[in-house]
Amino acid sequence: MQEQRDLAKYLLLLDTGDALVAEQDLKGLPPEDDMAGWSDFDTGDGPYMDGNLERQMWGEDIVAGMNLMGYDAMAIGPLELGLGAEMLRQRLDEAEFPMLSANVLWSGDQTLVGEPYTIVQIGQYRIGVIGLTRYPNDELADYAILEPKEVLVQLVPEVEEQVDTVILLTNLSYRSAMELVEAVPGIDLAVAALPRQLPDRAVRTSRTRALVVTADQALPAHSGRRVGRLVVMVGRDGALSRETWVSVAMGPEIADDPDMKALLDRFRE
Amino acid sequence: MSRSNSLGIAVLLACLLLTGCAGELAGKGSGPGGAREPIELVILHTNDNWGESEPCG
Repeated sequence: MQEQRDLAKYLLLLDTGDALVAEQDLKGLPPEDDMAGWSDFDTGDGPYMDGNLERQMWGEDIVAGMNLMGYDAMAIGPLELGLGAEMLRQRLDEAEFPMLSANVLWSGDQTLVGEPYTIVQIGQYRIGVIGLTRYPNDELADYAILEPKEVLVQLVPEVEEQVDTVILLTNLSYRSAMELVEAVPGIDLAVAALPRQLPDRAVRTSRTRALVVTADQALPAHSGRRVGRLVVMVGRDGALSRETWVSVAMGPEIADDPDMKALLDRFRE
Repeated sequence: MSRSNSLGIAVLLACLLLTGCAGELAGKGSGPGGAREPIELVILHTNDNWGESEPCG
């Protein structure tokens, strides 16, 4: 990450969520030594470093790692909601980056669980990042989930008024995100999630010309092994052009970051 | 200070405030415009998903 920051003058670091895991099945995980190469780049690998550690920490180590890496935003996913209200509130307090969701409310007071969007100043440009959460597989008593498209239709004009470029950050599937940004104008880029849909390039929707990318063919015990890297020109009007995108594999050739290693060691103690 | 001078200063201050605010509230594509150059932005994005059940190979 530090290497990437050194290379790029303007950089955004985003996570589509489902990173904080309440419980997991550790069967079939590779030996810890096999994970060492990529474990310190993406905190999503934290759970695989030591399942017992993760089970005890309930995502605390993940949030600490994301703080260390300087994430700009993360979308709240169903797995974050699955932590339960008390644990999620703790993680929200610990996060030094905005945890975004425009469509999840606490069922009690009907207020938003996370921030609906954040605005990041990049040079002379304001980038708005809207978070959307996909529906959990099971109904969760602590939350009320609003229909993503209805929320987006209402929210995009509000964000557009304040920024140059609008990004949708969501754990909705790649195809769902694509349908959404095709239906709702005003979004320049959707960063989506879910496995088995990994495209080999950044795709533009036919009508709204929004870009859509997804990072990872993430599967249990494979999550976090790839990082999406989009390089794009932001024009004077905030429009995105000349995009190139690659899915970068995290491997042993990437040296462990000493600070991240120290952080994980602290959580292991 | 005469009443007209005070009024003039008030109008001037209001204009300055409005100008300043206009910069903050400028919407999509209406930023400094010609004063800024296009930039190359790198967006790194990660996602994790445990919703599938395929074992690690």
